[in-house]
Parts: sequence; structure tokens; C-alpha cells
Amino acid sequence: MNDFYIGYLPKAPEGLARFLRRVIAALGVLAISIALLLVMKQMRFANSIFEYGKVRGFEGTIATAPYPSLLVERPGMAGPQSKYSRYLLVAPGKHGADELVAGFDGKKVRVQGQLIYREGGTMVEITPGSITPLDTVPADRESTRDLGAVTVTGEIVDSKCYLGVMNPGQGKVHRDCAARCLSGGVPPLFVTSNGVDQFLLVDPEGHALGHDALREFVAEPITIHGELLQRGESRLLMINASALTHMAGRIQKAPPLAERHE
Amino acid sequence: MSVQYGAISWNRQKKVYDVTVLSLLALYLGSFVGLGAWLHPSATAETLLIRALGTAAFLLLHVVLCIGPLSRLDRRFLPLLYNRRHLGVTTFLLGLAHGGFALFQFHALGNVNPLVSLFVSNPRYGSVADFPFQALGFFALIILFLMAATSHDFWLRNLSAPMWKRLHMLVYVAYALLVAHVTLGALQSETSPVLASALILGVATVLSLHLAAAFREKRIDQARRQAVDEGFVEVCKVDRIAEKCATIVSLSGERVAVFRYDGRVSAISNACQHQNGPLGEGRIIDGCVTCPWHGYQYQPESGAAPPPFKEKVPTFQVKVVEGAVFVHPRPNPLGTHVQPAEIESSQGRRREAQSR
Repeated sequence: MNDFYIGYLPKAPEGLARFLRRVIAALGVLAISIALLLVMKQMRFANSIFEYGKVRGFEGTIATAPYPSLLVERPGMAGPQSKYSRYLLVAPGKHGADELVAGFDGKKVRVQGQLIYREGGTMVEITPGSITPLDTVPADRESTRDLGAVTVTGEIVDSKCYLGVMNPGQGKVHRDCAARCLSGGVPPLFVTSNGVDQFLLVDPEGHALGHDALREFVAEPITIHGELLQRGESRLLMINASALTHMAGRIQKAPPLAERHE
Repeated sequence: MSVQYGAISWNRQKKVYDVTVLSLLALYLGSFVGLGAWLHPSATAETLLIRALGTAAFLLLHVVLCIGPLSRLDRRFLPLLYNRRHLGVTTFLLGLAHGGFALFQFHALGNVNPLVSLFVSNPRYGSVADFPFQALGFFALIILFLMAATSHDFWLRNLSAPMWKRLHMLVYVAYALLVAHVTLGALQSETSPVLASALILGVATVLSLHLAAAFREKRIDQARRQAVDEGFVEVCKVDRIAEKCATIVSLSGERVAVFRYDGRVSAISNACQHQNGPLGEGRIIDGCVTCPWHGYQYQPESGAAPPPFKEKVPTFQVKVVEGAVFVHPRPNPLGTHVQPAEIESSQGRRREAQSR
């Protein structure tokens, strides 16, 4: 009778209480152990940064195609590197910056926003209404160089989350967010499986892809074939999104491009 | 037991229970977020929170599911079952926080309503590996909400115990959805075999405990008994029932708790009116059968709760002949008074017969 527990009585029988104290202590040790195990066995987090709440000013030339960018002149630049640093531009939330930069193409501006960066890839989340034109000489148009056809395996991501707004900003768990960001106009990025190469994805004419063109293929391993272009420090991969297939993805070879200037 | 509803009928044991649960949860969440921030300085706070809350809810659901069979296998775990509803509600709240943060993080501030985005962002419903796992978590959360919302005794009384029990059996559907949610979600991104092994271990623990408890109860249900006298069925020798305890037998598909107390034997339904708790695993305390789950009480000879309480369970005709207990398998209406069988007179008659 001594071990019979009735919850509405003031105290549990002593023998039972002793047993329960041991169970609770074991659960406490288990809680810490499981937390430690789960935390330690998570995949590494990328060294990506979103300077949330830290608004900076940038000066440069707006390029609206294929995706909104800000070309910022490198001071005292010489050598083989591009004369400009290219910052992709996006709007707050899961939106691209097309509307914010409309009418500023090729113009020198001052813009305010929050910096996003990861391993050389840079982006600015523009503060809406902060773009002001400047009466200075805009940047030269960057030349485009055809690097030939390539076949690459990796993952389609949204550039905003991948570069730092979310961490991790890729993989299955992030898939819905990536689809939503692309749908909102955030530029699509292809990241190779080893994480070394990143290409902005464009259509076979070098224009921006439709916002929902890649929705079914984001955040899953995919092999794609396309024509690679170098424009300044950016690499663009021209693909035919309608020809993408799951897993053994193959796309039509884009027509070869001669070197051209925008 | 109470005769009127309160938001929560607090008592000291419930307070101790809840404080313990919250302390363990704080320990887990603090450890996860603290260690996570220390070991992964690049991780964002919202990612750590989403993961900490999600894993906490999933782990707590394992605890909730294990308490039932553990209590059947080892009575010392019964105190954990007493306030299990608070664990269920806590599981839902953790899941809600996890789902809320995730919904905001992955679906808010976009070009469609976040709840619409949840179902349309990933259109790969025909794929296994790429299945939209977040939708599975959403439906599991709906089930947990239904259970949390109806966890109060008000709903138990108004839905009736069997209906309430059936509704709350949906917890197993929620569990299956969450196992799929984790398998098709996090485990598709994470590469460590340790995490997959941990999930398998958790599922195996839940399954094996349920199977062990079911196997034990199956032996009760499968014991075959034949009617021998006016429909009465011999269930056991009276000596096999400990004083103020019961033996549980299955008669015509219904479990009956046969209690021995103060030189008498009574039989009532084994299912408590409150939550179908096993009355036969209870005790006679202050002259009443006391349910081991929440302490609901019934008079053994009538199956009625002592006034002012109103719960009633069916009773069964019982007799003791030559040290053997016989029970009629037909249940009497709820609360029907049945004269307890006298053990002494039975044994006295046996002695008289032997002396003749």
C-alpha cells in the first residue's frame, strides 16, 4: 500500500519519491546529453553574414539587368581584377529589387542598405526610398566574355539567403524559403556541390529568368548544362529552365555567344 | 476528483510536476541554444531556436508516448502519468513555437500568404526525398492542438470517455507524421548518421515499450474461461488476489477487475469512467477502489463514486465457492449494487463439507 501514488494527496510515498528523484536526475542528464549530441552533430554553418540593423551608405552605378546590381568602383584598382565590385541588390523580405531600381539603370546613385556577404559574394538589401541620383560619371559598361559550355552539378539557391540572410540558406530544409524568395524576384544562384563555384542563372538570351521558372528544382541535387559567361567579377550561367529535369537534369545547349557588350 | 470545473485543478503534486517539467525543458533549451551558439558562432539565433524548440517538442512527445506503457510495465512510473496532460499541452506549445518561428522564417515577408506558401512553395508531392515535409509538421500540429484543446475534463465529460480516448489516440497519427517530418526534412539535409540513428532509437523505444505492454495485456485477454455454473465463470483462486488489490480478467471481451477486501470480493469494470484507466491496477483505499492514474474512486459493491461525485462503472455478479472466485460475464447497469461475496462463509462451507 505504501507505494501507491495518489496525485491529489499532498505527498508521494517516500519510496516512490526517492525513485522519481532518480528518474528526474536521469532525465536531466539525458536532456543535456541529447542537446550536446544534436548540437555537435549538426552540419557546419557557413561563414556568411547579414548585417541586420546596420545600415550603410553605398555609391555606385545601378545595372538593372539581368538582375539589379550596384557597380562600385574599386579605389586605385589595377591589374586583372574587375574595375568594379558588383553588389547584387534586393529588397527587404523575400523580394527582388526590380521595382526599387526601376528608372536608375546606368545611373550613378547613393543607396542605403544592409550588407550581406559570403566568400566573396556580396549583396545589399536596399532600404526602400533610399536611392538618390548623383551628378557624377557612371561606371563603364562591363564587357561580357563567353567561357563556353559547361555541365555542373550542385544546387539552385536563392542568392539572398545563401549569401547570408539565412544560415543555412540551402538544402532541403530551406527549400520552401528559396522557392518563395525566387518567386519574389531574388536572383537565382547555382552553387556547385563542392561549394566553390557560384553562377547567377539567366535564360539563354542572358536575361533574368522568370520568377517561378525554377521553383520545382530548387534545393535539390541537380546537374545542369549551360553556357557560361563572365561579366566583370560575376559569372552567369545561361540555362533553358523549361528543359530542366530532376536528378539526371539535362538542358538544351544554348547557342554559342560571341563576345558582346551590353 | 472534483465536482466542478476549474481552469486547472492545481494541487501540490501538479505544481511539483509542472515545475520539474519546466525546469527540465529550460535545461534542454538552454543547453541546446547555449552550446549551439558556442560551437557554431555563425548560426543565427532564430535557426538555433527553431531547432531547439522542434527537437524539444519531438523529444517530449517521445516521453509522453513512453509513459503509458512504462506505467503498465512498472508501477513506479505511474506518478509520471498523473499529470501527463500537461506534458501533452507543453508538447503542443513547443511545437507551436517551432512551427510559428519556421513559418515566419521560411514563408513570411514573401509574395503570398505564409499559410498558402506552406503548401505551394514546394510542389514535389509526388517525390519521397523531396516531399514537402513542412506540411506534415503542420498537420501533426493540428492534431496536437485538437488534443491540447480537448484535454480538459470538461471535454472528457462532454465527449464521453470512449470518444475522448479515440480522439486522443490520434497522437499516434501525429507521431507518425512527425517521424516523417523529421525523416523527410532535417535528415535530408543533415549528413551525420548519428542523427538518423537517434531517430531510429527513439522510434524503436516507443514501439518496443508499446509491444511489451500489449503483450502483457494480451495474456489477460487470451486466457480462455468457460461458464460452469448458471453462466458464472471461474476466474481464479481467491488466494491469488492480494488484500485490497484486484486481479484483472477478460470476460466476453470486457476486462473485469475483481477486488478482494475485508474478507469480501467484488467485481467491477476495469475501465475508469475518467480516462479508461485500469481500475484493476488500483487499490482499495478508504473502502473505495482507487484508480492508479488519477485517483478516481468507486465503491466496490456498487461501482458508484462516493457522494458528491457522480462517476459510475458497471458491476458484475460475483461468488466465491470453495476458495474459487466466480464472476458472471454479463455487466450490470452502471452503479448497480451487488452483494459482495463473503470469503469466510465460502471457506466455512468448504470446511463443513470436508468434515461431513
